[in-house]
Amino acid sequence: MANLFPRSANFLPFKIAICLGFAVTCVVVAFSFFATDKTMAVGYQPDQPIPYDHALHAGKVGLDCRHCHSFVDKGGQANIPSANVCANCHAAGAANNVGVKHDSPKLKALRDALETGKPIRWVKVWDSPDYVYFDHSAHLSRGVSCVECHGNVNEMRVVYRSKAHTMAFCLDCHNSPENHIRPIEHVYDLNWTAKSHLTKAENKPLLDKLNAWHKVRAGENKASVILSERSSKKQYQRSLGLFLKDKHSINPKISCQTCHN
Amino acid sequence: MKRRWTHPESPESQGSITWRSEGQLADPEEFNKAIEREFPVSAEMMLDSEDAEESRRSFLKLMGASTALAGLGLASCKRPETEILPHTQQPEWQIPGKALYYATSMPRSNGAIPLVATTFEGRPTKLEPNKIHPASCGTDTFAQAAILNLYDPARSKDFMAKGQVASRSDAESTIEKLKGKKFSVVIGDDISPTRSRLLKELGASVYRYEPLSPEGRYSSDGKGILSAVDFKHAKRILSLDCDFTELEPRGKMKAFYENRQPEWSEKGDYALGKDSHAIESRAKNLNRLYMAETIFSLTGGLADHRKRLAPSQMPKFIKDLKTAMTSGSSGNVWVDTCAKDLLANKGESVILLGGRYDVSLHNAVNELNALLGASKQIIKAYKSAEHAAAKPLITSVKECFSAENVIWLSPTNPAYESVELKVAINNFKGKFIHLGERYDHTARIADLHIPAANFLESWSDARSFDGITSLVQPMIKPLYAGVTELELIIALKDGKLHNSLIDGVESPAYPTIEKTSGLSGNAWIKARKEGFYGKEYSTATIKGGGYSLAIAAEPTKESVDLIFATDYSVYDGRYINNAWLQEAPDPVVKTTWDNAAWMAPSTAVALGIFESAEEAEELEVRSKAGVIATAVSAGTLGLADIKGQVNGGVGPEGEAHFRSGRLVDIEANGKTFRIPVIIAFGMAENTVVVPMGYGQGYDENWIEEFSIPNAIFASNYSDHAPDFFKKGDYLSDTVSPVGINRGFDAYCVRDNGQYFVSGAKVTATAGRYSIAMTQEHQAMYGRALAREVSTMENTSATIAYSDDKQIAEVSSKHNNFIDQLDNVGKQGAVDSHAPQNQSIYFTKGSKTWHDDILAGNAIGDKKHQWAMAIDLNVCNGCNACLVACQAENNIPVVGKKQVALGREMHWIRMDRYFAVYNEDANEDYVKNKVNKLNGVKKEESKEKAHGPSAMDWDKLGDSLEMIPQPVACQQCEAAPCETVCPVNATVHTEEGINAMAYNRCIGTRYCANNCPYKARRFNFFDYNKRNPLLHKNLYKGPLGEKQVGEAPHLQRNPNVSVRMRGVMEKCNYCYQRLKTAIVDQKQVVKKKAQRLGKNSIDIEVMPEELRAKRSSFSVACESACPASAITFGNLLDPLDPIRRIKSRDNELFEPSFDENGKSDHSEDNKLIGRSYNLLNYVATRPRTSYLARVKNPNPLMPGAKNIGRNTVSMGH
Repeated sequence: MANLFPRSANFLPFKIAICLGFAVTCVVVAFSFFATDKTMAVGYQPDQPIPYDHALHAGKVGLDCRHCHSFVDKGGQANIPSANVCANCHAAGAANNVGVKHDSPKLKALRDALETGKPIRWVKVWDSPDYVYFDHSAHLSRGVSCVECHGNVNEMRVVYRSKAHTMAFCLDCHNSPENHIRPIEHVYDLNWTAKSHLTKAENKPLLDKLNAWHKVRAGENKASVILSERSSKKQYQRSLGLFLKDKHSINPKISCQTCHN
Repeated sequence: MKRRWTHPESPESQGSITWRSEGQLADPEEFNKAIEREFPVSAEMMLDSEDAEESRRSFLKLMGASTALAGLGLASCKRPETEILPHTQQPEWQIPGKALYYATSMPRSNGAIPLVATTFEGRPTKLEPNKIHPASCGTDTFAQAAILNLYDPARSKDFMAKGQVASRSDAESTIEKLKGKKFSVVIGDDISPTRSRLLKELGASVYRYEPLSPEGRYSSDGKGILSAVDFKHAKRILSLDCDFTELEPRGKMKAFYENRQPEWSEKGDYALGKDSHAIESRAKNLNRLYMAETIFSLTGGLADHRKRLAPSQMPKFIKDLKTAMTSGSSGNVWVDTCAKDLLANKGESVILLGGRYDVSLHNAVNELNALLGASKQIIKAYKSAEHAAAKPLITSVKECFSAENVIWLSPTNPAYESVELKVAINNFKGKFIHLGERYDHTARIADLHIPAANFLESWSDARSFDGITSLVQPMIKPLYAGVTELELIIALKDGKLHNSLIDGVESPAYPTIEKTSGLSGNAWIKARKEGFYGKEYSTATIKGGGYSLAIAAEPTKESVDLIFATDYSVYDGRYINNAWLQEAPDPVVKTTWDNAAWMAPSTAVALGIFESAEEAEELEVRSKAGVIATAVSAGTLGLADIKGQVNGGVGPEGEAHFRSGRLVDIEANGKTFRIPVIIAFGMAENTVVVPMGYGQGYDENWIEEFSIPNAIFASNYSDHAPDFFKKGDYLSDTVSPVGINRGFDAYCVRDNGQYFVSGAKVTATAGRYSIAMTQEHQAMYGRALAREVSTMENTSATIAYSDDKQIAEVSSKHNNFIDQLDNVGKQGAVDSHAPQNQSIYFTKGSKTWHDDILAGNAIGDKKHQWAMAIDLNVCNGCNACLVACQAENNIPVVGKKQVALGREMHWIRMDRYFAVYNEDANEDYVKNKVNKLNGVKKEESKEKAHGPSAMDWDKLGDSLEMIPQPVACQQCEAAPCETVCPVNATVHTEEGINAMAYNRCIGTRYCANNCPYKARRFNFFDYNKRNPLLHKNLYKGPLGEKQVGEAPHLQRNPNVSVRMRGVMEKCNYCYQRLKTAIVDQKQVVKKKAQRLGKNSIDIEVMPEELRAKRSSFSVACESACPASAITFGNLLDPLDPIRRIKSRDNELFEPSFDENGKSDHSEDNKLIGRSYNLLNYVATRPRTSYLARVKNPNPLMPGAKNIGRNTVSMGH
């Protein structure tokens, strides 16, 4: 019988195997890369025209987030402050004629802006795609703190992207808000935790109220957390979160139109 | 797999024939095939071989280019660095991402339209009616589309002197030199108190000019007397060719619509619900509209009785009317019956005459109105000194142009509209100064053309129809440094022209209007906030008499009446550059992007447009070539009984890019122009209607519109273009890419001020012109789509079948108004058998469905469940909702070629059906059918109920009805589109909206294919990115010219995604607006805690407290509708008006349960009799419902029993 395949065909299986192997490797590498935080550019820390120090202003000085991001609880976007807000303290003659650091070279961009009327060109750190409609005020008024998405900005000298804002990240909270919500009075307090709050002596009545409420729920076979001294941070959060979710009718939606319009 | 709906057989007792187009009438079978398809036949074909070649080459080119770029492209993997630029000084009130609303108004000839402008970060994006304004009548299409004019990139930007760009300083010095000179000033028909005051101070002689203004009415009403109609007390209205609901508003329309609603009471729309006693007595008080007109106007479509009337026959008609009213009988039964009814309701009846008729006819009608007592009680006459101060220009052209200087402020284009005025301007010795937003024909010949500011950039004031002063407030600084009317007049006085480019300088117009108002302090602040101040005009009386009625001969086919009509899209030509208006289909004839000569089918046949010896030959040749378009002479219907198909097309004139109109030459006033013909129904015979304002600029690509694929004259088509075009006698830069190559100019044969001309001659030519019509697009297949009832008792014959399909009984039933209302749900005898489908929102079928625990298990949201109802009774089909939706939802225009292929993107489409009913024929038909069927099984009879075949068109022509029906996504609870999406891109929300996730959509178009309502639109191209209006731009792929970053993109709503190529889109109940209201309501925890002085942890908030307040949201179509035909709301809110129509459970029934826990669906339990769901029998449980149309015929009128009987069904 004549040879059906030429001699070169002997190597064909190897060639195919090598190609397939290469393809599989590529796919694996690609998927692993896109599964990492690298894709979402976590840690992205661009240089700003003014090296604004959040750790100093929000941490040390103790300015409320809303001092500068003044519309965050009123509108969908958390605004970057206009130059006149900075000037309230930093312009020569401002703040009871002190004019904090008004001649610092770091504030040149501010002085230029005030002089020319041309805006300061801040670099965007956090950026959602155009087809995502996120409303800051909706989240703040339901007890989602800044820290849940932006991390501890009050400790950042130069602000950076601290979390990966993937769709899974959003859905995690929309599916189980109890792990993330807090009383609306504390949403701007970036160091607040449920445990530190509830273990304060003056909050003992609240803790008892929570436990009593959860006991009733446990009787109804509903999700409940009874707190004790040994309970973890997470359990404290969950206990308070379940309570708030129920009392404030917090029921985040998960259908597409909630965020995509 | 596409779901095959089994449509019930057409009911036997139906005497109505209904159609969308002449193609459907001519060949229903072919049309049935067509509506099964999603797109017109051959829409997928390349337009011609050149295109095919071009596209193949560009494909190869692009493939090469993209491969090459792929290597370089890695650099683009890095995220782009984006910036945020905050203000240096934060402006007051502005919150990024939040809309700010300001009151303003749009100056218009029939009274300013009070508006509220939505602005985002200083960009106006949307206009809504200002509902607190006492003269607010909603918005019309033009007001909704006006925002696009602001952002027109082709707006005039430079000062021009005799066609040459002039510097600003030159222009300023020219104006400075005019200080103290004598002026003639020409203004439009709008009235501005400040402008009038300034012109008086300037000592100028003032003229008013608009080419299509209702001059006849103005001069008959007396000097400076304007009139409006008090529709609240008008019970009988006879409109003589007066489109008062749309193009020629006569006062506040709300009451007119309310008086057509049988369920209306002081408590609001639909407040009477099912209260049959109250409705019966209300039915007696409904208004009745008689209409005599040439072609269907939108008002004519609403009319209870309509008479076709050639315009030249109007004097005879009025004479007959006078005879009938004074001495008894005129010999014309229609007129006699109508006159009797008017007289019987003395003091509550009124006659309106189209404003563009002769002054003597108006005097005659005024006299008749005095006879009816209407002059005192129904017609409100206002005295306007400002109106009186302006003389009509057309009667005093010489006088106007004898002044030293002429200042042209009117928003018109006289050099294009009138030969006389063009000559006058050209021969004018002094300075002709032109202020205009467009660099048009007049601007080119002006001594100085000044770019005008849009009204949204101006400080000004304008009177609404009743004299209340509405403020025109700027929403944005002039984009192109335009000058406003008031600024120019002030400059003529002071010598100094305001320059808006200089920062920090206030427009001098602002203190001037403040001075006019005489207001200060808080009163002035209030006026600016609310957008109006002041009182109505003082009243006056209108006198009639002093006329002669010259009786003209009836038009014949040799000497037709030619009407120069106002266009629903471009008005008099001023909106030629507005793409939204151009693409909005004409509400009656459904043409887009072009005008055409409209004529009745019988006229077209009589004129030989469908049957001439030459054409017959051509047709024979074409049929051999596989393209058949045979036109047979008029059948018994008097319609062009045209049998034909062009490559499977539905109409005699084909579809998609085969669709064309036969070109004709029309000779009138001794001049000739060429224009294609389109068949229009309900027209008087031997009349031709040509909408004005088209044909303002052409380029060489226009010639392609004369080339119809597969037509035998395709090779020499360029011979058929009009002579002026062949000679190159045209301008191309007078319009933007939107307005270029659009239609045919008829102003060239019109004499100044003419409404119509008798004795016009129409000669068919061999050429054809391509026309994009939407009347057959997205036609729904199904039964009882649009429904009607009549306040008059009628009889219906029905055939009942026994179980073995034998005819059991033929019965005839008397139905009074209440019976008819109750039977709306059963109309077409299809819905009553429909099985109820399960809702995915509430578990049902047991008593416990409203038990909290069980309801909690359903996926529904407990705060909001959205629903809508559309009332066909008051919808006149005006397209305001369609354009409002386009503005709100960033819907792109696609251009003429794409529209022809059925790719228009409008989320709401305005279906328009024609229907006639013949009761006599119906009875005969039933009898015949019974005889025929006796003993024959039902199924064996395949005969379709197309209605009586031997209808007498002439008898029924006047009872032809036009029924518009807006259709958007119905938000089905059991949505057929969702089950077929392979990627879950269309899914339901918790609030009952069928949502689209654009980013998931991969463009399979299965969903559109499976939608029984044909409500889904597909982005075949990147219409938003590439300009579809440039020649062949879409087919150039990435090489095509982009339009991103051009001015119109500033209009985009930031809260709505701009869709890209390859995704499906559709109505989503303006979810962005609902969401804004919902998010605002979330502040309730904070507010409650503050109010109670407690910590937030100590307060409780129930779901009901998080429900958006009814006053905090409205959807775009709902708020735009001038007739309040659209009701939108939250089903879970017991106080929401939607709950008068639909139950909490999205049922049209009152929820009630029998002892077995089964809910009761009988018709007796309906919340409102007139409601029905579209295609209820396919069990989609739509959230949008419809309400049937109510006709209120005069029982004594011949043919009254045929009125209000139609049920529109499409397909077999």
